[in-house]
Amino acid sequence: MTTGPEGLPTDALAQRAQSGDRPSFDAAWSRVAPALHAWASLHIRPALRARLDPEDLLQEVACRGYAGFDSWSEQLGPFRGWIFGIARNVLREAFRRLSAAGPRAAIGLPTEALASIPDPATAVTRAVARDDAMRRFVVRCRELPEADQRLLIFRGLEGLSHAEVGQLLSLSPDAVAKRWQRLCDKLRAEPRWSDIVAA
Amino acid sequence: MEPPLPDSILVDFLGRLLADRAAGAANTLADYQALYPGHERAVQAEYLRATTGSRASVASTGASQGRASPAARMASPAAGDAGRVAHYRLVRELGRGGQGTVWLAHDERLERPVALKLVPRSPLVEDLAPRFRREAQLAGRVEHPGLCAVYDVGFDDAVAWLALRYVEGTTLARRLADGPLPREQALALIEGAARALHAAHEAGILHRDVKPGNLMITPGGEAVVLDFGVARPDEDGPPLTLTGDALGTPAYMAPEQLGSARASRGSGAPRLSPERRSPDRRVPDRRVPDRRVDDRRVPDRRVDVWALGVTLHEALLCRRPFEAPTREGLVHAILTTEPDLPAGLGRDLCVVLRTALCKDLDRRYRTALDLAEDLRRVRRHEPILARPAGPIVRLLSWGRRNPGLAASLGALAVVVLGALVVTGSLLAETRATLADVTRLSDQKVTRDLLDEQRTLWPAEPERLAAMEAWLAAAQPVLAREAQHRQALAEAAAGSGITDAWMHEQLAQLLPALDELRAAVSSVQARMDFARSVGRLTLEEPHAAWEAAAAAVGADPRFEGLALRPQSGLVPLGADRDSHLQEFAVLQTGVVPTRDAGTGKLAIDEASAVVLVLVPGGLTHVGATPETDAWCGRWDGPIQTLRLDPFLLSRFEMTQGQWQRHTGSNPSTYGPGSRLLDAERPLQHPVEGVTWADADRVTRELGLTLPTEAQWEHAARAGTTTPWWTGAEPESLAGAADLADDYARTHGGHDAWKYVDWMDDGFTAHAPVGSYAANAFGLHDVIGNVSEWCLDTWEDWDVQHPRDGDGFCSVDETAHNYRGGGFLHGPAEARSSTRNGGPPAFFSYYVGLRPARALER
Repeated sequence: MTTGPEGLPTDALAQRAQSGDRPSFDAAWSRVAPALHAWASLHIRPALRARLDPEDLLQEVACRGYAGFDSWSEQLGPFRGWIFGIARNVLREAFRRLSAAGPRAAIGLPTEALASIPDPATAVTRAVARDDAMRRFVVRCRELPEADQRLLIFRGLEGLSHAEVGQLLSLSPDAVAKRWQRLCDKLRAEPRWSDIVAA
Repeated sequence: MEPPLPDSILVDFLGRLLADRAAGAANTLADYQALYPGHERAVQAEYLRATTGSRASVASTGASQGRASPAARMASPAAGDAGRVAHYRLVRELGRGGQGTVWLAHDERLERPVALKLVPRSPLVEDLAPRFRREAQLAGRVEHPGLCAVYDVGFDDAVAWLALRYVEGTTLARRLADGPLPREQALALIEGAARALHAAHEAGILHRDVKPGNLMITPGGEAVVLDFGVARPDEDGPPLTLTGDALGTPAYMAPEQLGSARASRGSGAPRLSPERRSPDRRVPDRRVPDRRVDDRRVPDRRVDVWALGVTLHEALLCRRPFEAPTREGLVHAILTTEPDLPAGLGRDLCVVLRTALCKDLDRRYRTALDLAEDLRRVRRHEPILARPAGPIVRLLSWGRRNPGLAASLGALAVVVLGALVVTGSLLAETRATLADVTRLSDQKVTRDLLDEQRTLWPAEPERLAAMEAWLAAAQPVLAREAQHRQALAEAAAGSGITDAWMHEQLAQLLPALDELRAAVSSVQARMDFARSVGRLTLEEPHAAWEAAAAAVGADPRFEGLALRPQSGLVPLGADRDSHLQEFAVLQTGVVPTRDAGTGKLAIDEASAVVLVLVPGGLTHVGATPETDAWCGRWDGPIQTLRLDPFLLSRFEMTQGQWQRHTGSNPSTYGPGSRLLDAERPLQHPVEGVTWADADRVTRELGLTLPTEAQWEHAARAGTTTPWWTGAEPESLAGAADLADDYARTHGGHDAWKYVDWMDDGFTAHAPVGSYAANAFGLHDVIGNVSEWCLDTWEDWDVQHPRDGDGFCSVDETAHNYRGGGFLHGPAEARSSTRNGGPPAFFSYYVGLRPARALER
């Protein structure tokens, strides 16, 4: 659970947003957006960029998150995990539509709810997508071996536990923890690392 | 039953699959399954859904097998099903194409794995059994490790099969999904494939479908050419199809293949030339837009050379030389455009690619072996045999496109040239040829000499003879330098060499000669050093060596060690605090002197490396949470071993020491950086060095990197606390350059691990020796820069450092660096903190501390 300039953990911000303080949603979103952008950029590989833009994906996730925010509660798990759950759904649908659309067709994401999303959240998304340090971070992550990339995505970005990642990768939680520690040691000096990666 | 694919895995898999498909890299189901162990069946279901649109689950596929036709059952058994074809037991699917599937199968007669290609036989589809038979017959003609052998062929009413050698590895197409191959690997791979194809060609077989998907990269990095499914004997007519379509993959097809396929389809008659189909010979046939393509030629082995050229281009750049969104556009591009090659490939490689991809058959490599040989030359930096298109070739090409005008100008030229024939021309030509040969020879010899001089280290008397022989070989080459420079000047003035390729060779030779001249100076300096090193380090300081030996012999920490004089080192006496003997490495700089009053060594930018004789004995390295509250996961368990005494530098290697030896300074924070001490920037530690460079440079200087065990033993200097300064981080004040309050407020990076209570006065690294030394007299083992160690990063649960030198190495993928750096907090700079990176990794906080084994 991260704390920000306001000193509030992300989940506390989200709770405050649910009690009516909608700007807190923007603050909570700005905590998760960098990780989400890195996640989307790693999944949407360069060969697919012409057909599906990570920034569009982020906007769509922000829209759905904002629209369905009332359904989140801390009992369901951390805000970060909830947002990533939405992101996985959006990306899965997008990939399936791409697959069905043929090799060259581009798809747009159904961002009809875009008008309803507050400007600050949109601005956060745009700023993250245009951040050079973020771009360099993604490039650096792309250079990692595949196994490390998956570990970074599942453990570092989605914020899954070692046990959950172990189930996904057929590894023991201890092995995941060791590999994660090793990866952190390798990457923690990278710019944006502490903003992006789940503790 | 395996649960459905978790969403996290699902989006990862779909993203990869779609990207692979978008890149045209067809991967097999087995490849994807291998990426997601534990989810094989779910991946298979999703794969089927994505590739066929089928929503059928694996379970339902299996359940419906009883109703499926025998052909369908055999061509597509469910994963894990013990399917069987003849005497082959199916193990798992390796790949799937439009015509059938390929399975890993077990040959139960010969007890060996095979790749079994299965194609259903049906009245509705082309019967591939004849092609299988032919593939087997063709493959039987040749045996080569780079070719996939065909073991067996057969068919029944339901299915045709082909049993092939099972080759482990990954296809080039699959590999390219991760980005282009490193240049060396790409060249070696295509060279191997070209040699294999040459063997096939010599046996009279054309492959005709060379592409990344048909090149397997074995675990050893060798190329194996797969799938002779569309191969044919080179004396045959058109390939066997029912439709008349050209077999092969269009993006990799040579212009003459496309030309002949179009001709065949267009008229129904084999390979009519465009001129014969056109009523007016001056009107170009729009189906073959460029007459540089002579499609009257029967495609021969050069179609495979072309495809190798396309494949090499793709391997290097991850894109093909001819691309278009439609098939027609692609054919047009192949027939009419020239590949756009980035200059970064290098001139020779561009020439090789252009020659392999030349539309004019007469100028393309005649054989795959020719291509392989030139690739070998490019790899070895030797002159290639292919030549770029010169003005005459370009003129001829232009003439083919403009025949009327060319004929008129040609006639005029014949008249003029005829009048200029002189009898001395033969003699001049002979002289010019001799000069050409000399230039090419000098170029080769120069490159060899430059390679060889890198081996003439360290500068020891034992190498004097080799260095003398090297100089004797270099001097005649340098003696001809003036002659080469004159030739280049004449060429620039428009006389002498007119051939563009030879001009280029000459232009490359001269900088190489500059390098050779510098190498001669370096080797002469090494010889001078090797001739004097005995006198300067053994004879003149004889008394100092005796004193050092006496002191060491009397020191119980050395357990009676008899210290011998060590060549290349100058004894400096004992440090007053540590009471350990110190020695200067003569070759690395100025031998420092001790201050008469304090007994401290006076160190500056010009100083040589100072080695401390570190006592060995029984030692413990590593940590556990019980001994160290900050212990990291990799820091233990504690290793107990017995180390021999060894020499380790008192300081981290400085930028000055590195620069004096290598002529360059890779440091991020080097001279001119505002974060350095401007008065003595070269006394800062060198950083930004890879492990490979650190290893090379220390070896050249007759030194080495310390093993991890040696490093930690020396850093601890007899202590068992997390830092040699004590058990609490606050003990580090005045003893280390870490990420402190000063750095935070003076330009340090946001990501550094700051501690508020420390103020070491530097943002980045500090000049070596700025902080207190440990009990062995070693400075900066905590912080400043991390230090590469010799051995690789092993899990100490599994691999243990050995007695003697503490070496521990199995896996070459990562090497350790120790000690933390100026950007770290105390927890990351403990004596037992382990960190590491691959040999090519470098960073602004990783340097080195040289060591040396004791000659005993």
